[in-house]
Amino acid sequence: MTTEPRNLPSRRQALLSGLFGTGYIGLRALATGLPAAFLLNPRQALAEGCVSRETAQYLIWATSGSGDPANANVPGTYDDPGIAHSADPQMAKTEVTLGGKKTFAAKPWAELPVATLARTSFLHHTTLTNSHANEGKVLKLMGGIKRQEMLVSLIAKHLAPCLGTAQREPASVSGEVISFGGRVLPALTPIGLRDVFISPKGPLTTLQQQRDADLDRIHAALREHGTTAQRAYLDRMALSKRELRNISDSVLNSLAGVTANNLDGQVTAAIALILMNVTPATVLQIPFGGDNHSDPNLARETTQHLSGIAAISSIQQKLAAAGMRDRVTFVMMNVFGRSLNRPALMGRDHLGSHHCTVLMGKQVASSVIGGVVRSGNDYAATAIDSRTGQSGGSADIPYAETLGAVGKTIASAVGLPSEIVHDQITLGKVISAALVK
Amino acid sequence: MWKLRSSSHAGLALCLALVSKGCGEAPEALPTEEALPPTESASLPPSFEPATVASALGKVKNLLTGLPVSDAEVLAVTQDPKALPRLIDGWMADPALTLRMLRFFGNAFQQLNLSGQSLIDQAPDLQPNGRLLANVQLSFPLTAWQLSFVEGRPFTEVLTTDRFMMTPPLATLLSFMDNRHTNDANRGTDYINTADPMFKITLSNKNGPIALEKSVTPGDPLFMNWYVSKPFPMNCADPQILSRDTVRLYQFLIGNVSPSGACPTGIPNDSQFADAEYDAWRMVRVRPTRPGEVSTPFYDLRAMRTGTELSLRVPRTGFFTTPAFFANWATNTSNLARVTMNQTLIVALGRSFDDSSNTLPLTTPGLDSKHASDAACAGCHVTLDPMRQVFRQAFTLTYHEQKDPAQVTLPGVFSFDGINKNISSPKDLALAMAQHPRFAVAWTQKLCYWANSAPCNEDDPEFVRIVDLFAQSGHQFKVLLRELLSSPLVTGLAQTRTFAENGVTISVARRDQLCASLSSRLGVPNLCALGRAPGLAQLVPSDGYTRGASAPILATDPSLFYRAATEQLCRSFADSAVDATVAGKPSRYASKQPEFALADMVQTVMGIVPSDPRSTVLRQILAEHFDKAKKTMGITATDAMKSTFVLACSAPPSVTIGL
Repeated sequence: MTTEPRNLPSRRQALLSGLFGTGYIGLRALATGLPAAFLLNPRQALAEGCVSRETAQYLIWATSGSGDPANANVPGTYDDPGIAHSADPQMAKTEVTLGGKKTFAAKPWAELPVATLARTSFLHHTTLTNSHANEGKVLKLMGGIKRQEMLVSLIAKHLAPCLGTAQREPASVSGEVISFGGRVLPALTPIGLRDVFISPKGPLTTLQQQRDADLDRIHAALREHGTTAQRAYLDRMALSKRELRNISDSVLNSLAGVTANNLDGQVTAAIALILMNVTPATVLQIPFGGDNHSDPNLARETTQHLSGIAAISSIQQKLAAAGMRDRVTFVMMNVFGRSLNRPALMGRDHLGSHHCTVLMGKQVASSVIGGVVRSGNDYAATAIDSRTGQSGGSADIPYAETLGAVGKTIASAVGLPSEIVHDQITLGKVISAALVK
Repeated sequence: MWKLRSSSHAGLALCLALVSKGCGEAPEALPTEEALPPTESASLPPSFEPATVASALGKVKNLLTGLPVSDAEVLAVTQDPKALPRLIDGWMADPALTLRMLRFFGNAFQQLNLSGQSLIDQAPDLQPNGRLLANVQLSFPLTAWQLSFVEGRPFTEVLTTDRFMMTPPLATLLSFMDNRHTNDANRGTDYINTADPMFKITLSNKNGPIALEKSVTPGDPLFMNWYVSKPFPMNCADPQILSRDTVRLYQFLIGNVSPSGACPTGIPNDSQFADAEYDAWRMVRVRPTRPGEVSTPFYDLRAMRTGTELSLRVPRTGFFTTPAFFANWATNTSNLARVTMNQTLIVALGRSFDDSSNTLPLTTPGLDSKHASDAACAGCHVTLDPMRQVFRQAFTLTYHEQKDPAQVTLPGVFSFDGINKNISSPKDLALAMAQHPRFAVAWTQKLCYWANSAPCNEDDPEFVRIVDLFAQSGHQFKVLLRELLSSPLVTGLAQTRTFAENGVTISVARRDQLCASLSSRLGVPNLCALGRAPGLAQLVPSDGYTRGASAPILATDPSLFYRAATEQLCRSFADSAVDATVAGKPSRYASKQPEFALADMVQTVMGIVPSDPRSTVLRQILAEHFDKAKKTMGITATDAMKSTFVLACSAPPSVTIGL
């Protein structure tokens, strides 16, 4: 008895014809959201639809609606003695060199590997809000993106054709709400992903091979009586089973190591989704102190800076181990920063006027962009000179446009062509000082 | 009869861009059949192969009830094809249809996908709990169900209705939102505080419960005194007297009170609403507050629980003014309600804006002067801007009632596909759309998508026949459902122009279909809520919609993720299906009764009737699997039966629509 449909296509063909089908183009365009031209001639369309194959990067995006104090201990916040920092020795003011310039940062930032710092930019800016609930709006650059798209979704949509991912949408593994084209995407969990791909040990797993063989027999029996359309569908189902069994052991092993929906689990899941080429962008949450209004001696801020920066370092190491370090850009952008003028060190309040986005990637120039100045009872981001990255007189990006400028810079760093960047993002300008020349 | 005109692709793309923000934006790839290039005909299927009666009936019954067909039903239709509509009438009486239709209505009316932050524009201080958020999303689908299936009203009333299904907590939310106005400049007004600048509430855990009657009756000595059910935290004085704080009054009604300067940790409190009240749905008529009238205060829980009428300042008419629809389609100072109008047209008439309309508006109120002078932009703006003006006239940018005289005195103009009317209220817009010939076409097409995961060809004579029947029935939705599902367009029993041009689509069973049908078939309610299933089900694609697209998002492909998720879901279901006790009842299958189990798995789980020529071989494969598994070292009979169930459950017929 035939157990497999014959003349099965290659894995690459499977991706192109299996995911997108060989007929019923209109429907598949609807289902996938991909242009019909892509579906009719994927290879050609990939070439046409891909906006920048050479520079296209995957994206790991960390975001938090808690408004963590991630802005409070980064390079650029140690020049003004009025800015409060944890007194814990683990967070000691430490010299660090970024882009050939010496500056200071909390010790965990300064002690990131040199190779990582060499492709890291700290961009100081405002998020124009101090409300937790506006996280979604900040990710849409507070109205600075057309069609009210989130930046991570805008980037994913344009880079998916270049990267050949199974979906255009980002995948959130953190529970943070991400929208794409106006719809809220399902929040995946690391445990959920693990459970889908890793079968628990037990009798049912023992019998997996036998089930696979009998499932092939069922496919064959159904094919025998099926119409042409039904047979084509059955072939695709058989193929998906083969694809499933052929996922690389290293990816499965890493997913098998997920034990919780915590930061470690999120990092593992985010990287696995990229290595499996599911999505151009994954979204996770890295705690850096949380909503720490009440945080005596900034203890939680300290603890979570240590774990958060370690997580970022771990991401870089895992990407390097998978040979993907040059193909993935990391971003950390939260809803807002927190007050810097807190001499009592008992916690920090919301601060809409200052935040620091951390950007790491192959196209990123080691740098500190912009800065902070006293403003009222606290501090605020400065205007930015797009060419030098400095604050001050020559600044051509006003304070109110710094969020949009950071968005444009991120989009440029991951390979979006300038015409798309400038057309889709309506505020600010690209900060060339943050990008590799 | 009315004929669909062809549209200009370029114009459509341009206008889709326009509804988002402004003219000149790069158009997106359009996920609609209209974007198809002319070369598609090269990939048409060579010939039509009709489905078998068993396959066709299996699809239809599964769509309506989730249950498999019987040999008797197959025989009835084989002998007399006219028996199918009668069978469908019977299946439509199955309670399972309600959930199917609620999900369909939720997507079709774009009322779903809200998060805790979605209502931020309409109620900036609100932190809705999960049950309240579910109420917000379920209200209009239930309204549509009530109107069309329970009351038998014309389906056009989904546009014009001023009656909505509400629960007491939802009515309270609507009234609370109504009390806090935000204008176009994002400045707020609290009507209760404005009417009574000395308004204050007293929250206390002392002196025992206070009758609601006393708390809400002006003039009563205990007016606005509320009993907090839990002791106050150490750092909060009891009582807390809060001035002009309607937000915390609302919070008190639905649960905990948020921190304040005088009580930095907040006040724990039980909601005034019992859990059952979130399920206590009733139709409530919403009417505009009359001049000089004080609208129903949100804290009057008596009215919220029993009233059949709610007076609100914010106009509420049809699906397109619900909090859920507005939450999905936020607007801003640049967009100026273009997105709202466009999504309204997509839902009501199944069409997005394009500049190929042959209907010029009577006048052009609200026309964006900057774009009107640009020939590339004017074509769209000249129709869209006057139409969206009806939203600007009635609503602020945060969807509160409009009070700006410049907007209130400027009515809109509806001009779309031959219909041209002045409109000066949401009700006028609703009537214009309800009388539009596209209405019947649009809803027939939406059901086509639902049933086939693919569009019907709107020029197909069979499609046109069903559209006409729907319209002639007075837009009876049940007539539409029966006629379409018994049509070759869905059954595939005969050739249609749709199949000739587009081919036949076979689709994966998406999340709701899969969970509902296996729940029904195994007799276990909410199967996807048990054990590991909730996390696994997230990986199964669900139906959806997206901005600017007239077609729904319907994943059809059995990708490896679908394969993996359904395989694991079936493993999870096996724990409830084999040798188990669920809710006091024995599971459907027992390893000690393999004969029944194996036959039933083919017939009930896989939906293959005994008379189907595939039945025998499938049963044989399952039997051989069970026997071989049982003989495997370390495998019990229960394990073997579970493995057999997983095999049946993850087999193509169980996870596919149209096989």
